[in-house]
Amino acid sequence: MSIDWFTFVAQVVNFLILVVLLRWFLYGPIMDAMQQREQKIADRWDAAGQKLAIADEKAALLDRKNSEFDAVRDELMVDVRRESNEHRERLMREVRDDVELKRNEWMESLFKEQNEAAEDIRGQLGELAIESTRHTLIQLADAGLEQLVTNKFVAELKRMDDSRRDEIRALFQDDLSRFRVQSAFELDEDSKATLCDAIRDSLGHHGDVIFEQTPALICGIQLDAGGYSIEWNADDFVRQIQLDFNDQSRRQH
Amino acid sequence: MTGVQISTDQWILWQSEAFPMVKLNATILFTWCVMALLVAASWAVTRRLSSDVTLPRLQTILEVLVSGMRDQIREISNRDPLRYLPFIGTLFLFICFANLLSIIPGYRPPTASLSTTAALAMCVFIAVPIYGIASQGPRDYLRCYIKPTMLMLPFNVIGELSRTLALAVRLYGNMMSGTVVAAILVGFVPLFVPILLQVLGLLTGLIQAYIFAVLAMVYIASATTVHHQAVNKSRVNDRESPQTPDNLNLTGDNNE
Repeated sequence: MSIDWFTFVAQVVNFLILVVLLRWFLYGPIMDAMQQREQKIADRWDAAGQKLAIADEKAALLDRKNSEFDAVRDELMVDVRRESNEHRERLMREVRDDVELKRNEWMESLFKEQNEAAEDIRGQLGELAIESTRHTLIQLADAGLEQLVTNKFVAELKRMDDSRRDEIRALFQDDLSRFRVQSAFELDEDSKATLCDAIRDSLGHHGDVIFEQTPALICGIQLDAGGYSIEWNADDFVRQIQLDFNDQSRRQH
Repeated sequence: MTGVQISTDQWILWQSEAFPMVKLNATILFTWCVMALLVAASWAVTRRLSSDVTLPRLQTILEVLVSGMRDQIREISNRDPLRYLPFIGTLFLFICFANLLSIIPGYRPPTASLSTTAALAMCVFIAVPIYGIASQGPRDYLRCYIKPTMLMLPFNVIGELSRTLALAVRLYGNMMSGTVVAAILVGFVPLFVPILLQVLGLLTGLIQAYIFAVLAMVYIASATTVHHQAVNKSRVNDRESPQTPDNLNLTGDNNE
């Protein structure tokens, strides 16, 4: 165990040379590389932080826009709901009006059909009543209904008040050619002659008399002239029967 | 080389005729081999260093090694490690590789030579006052030897010398004993036991390299830290101000 001083000095020099060499070839480059990497990581970290900040700002902006969008959407939804309610109410009103119109049309149509049916019934009732009366009169009294009706009409003309007769005469003097006699049945020549005589005697008419057959009168005679009318028929009678029949039917329902 | 030579200093490979003192022995030769290996490996790895996040495998190993030494120095000195890294790191790497290469047949570790360990200890012995004077100036550094009283001067000097001697003898004794014991056991038990002793020698060499480097760092740190504690203490007393984060950092790097 001894020290070789030449080796001692040589080893000191060797070690110092090794320190310099390793500082040059190892520590310097390695530390530089590590610092560069740390700097890169720090730069990336900063960049990531900046991107994160930008992302946060964008997220905040997006949240704000979402809030604004929600507010706008709510306002639009309120408007849409109001408009839809108004539109629905308008449609409902239109539908209600349409339904009312249809109902009215239907009711009118129904009323019209009812009236037509009532007219038919009335006509049938009148015909039935007249036919029954005619048959009864022929069987029991050997008399014709038309003849009796004509006689009754003539009697009514003759029994008319003077004041009324004068009033009618005053009206008929202006337009004598328009005397027209309507009857539900075909008048024979005797009846026509009787009626012409009665008109001439009672009303002072000496002109022509037009005779027409009108089934709607059911049974009776009507005299028209200058907008004035004198009638003697069974229409009122039949109409009253129909009204009674309708009341009875309504009560039963 | 004839017989069992304890020291590689006596293994003379070449000697100058003009200056017989100048000679090339096995210690110097193996030291050059270790130096060449370290420098070549460092150059091979560091010539293509990557500063990317993904690293080559060899660069990773070197960076782990260097950063480990750097962290160890920072932990011991509590100061900027870059100033001490070349010296302490080279101590560790040289001793470590000089010892680890003993697994190669025919190789004799230069650390088994007292001349080498004494040279390394002498380097530490010289580095301590250099770092201390560079850190606090010659006057303040030399004043540490007479603290707390002038009577402590011889004891401090003896302490400096003895720890240097201890550094040299500890490393030499461990490495020489391992080599000698292995050589002796080869004669008695030629199988298996020398292998186990070689493995134990590798572990011992690694530990000795660590101990040598850590002790060197402790000596250097003690030569610089005392000054900082004293300086900061005096600054605090001069200010007579309440404690703040600035004057609480008594041994921080910024106070260097």
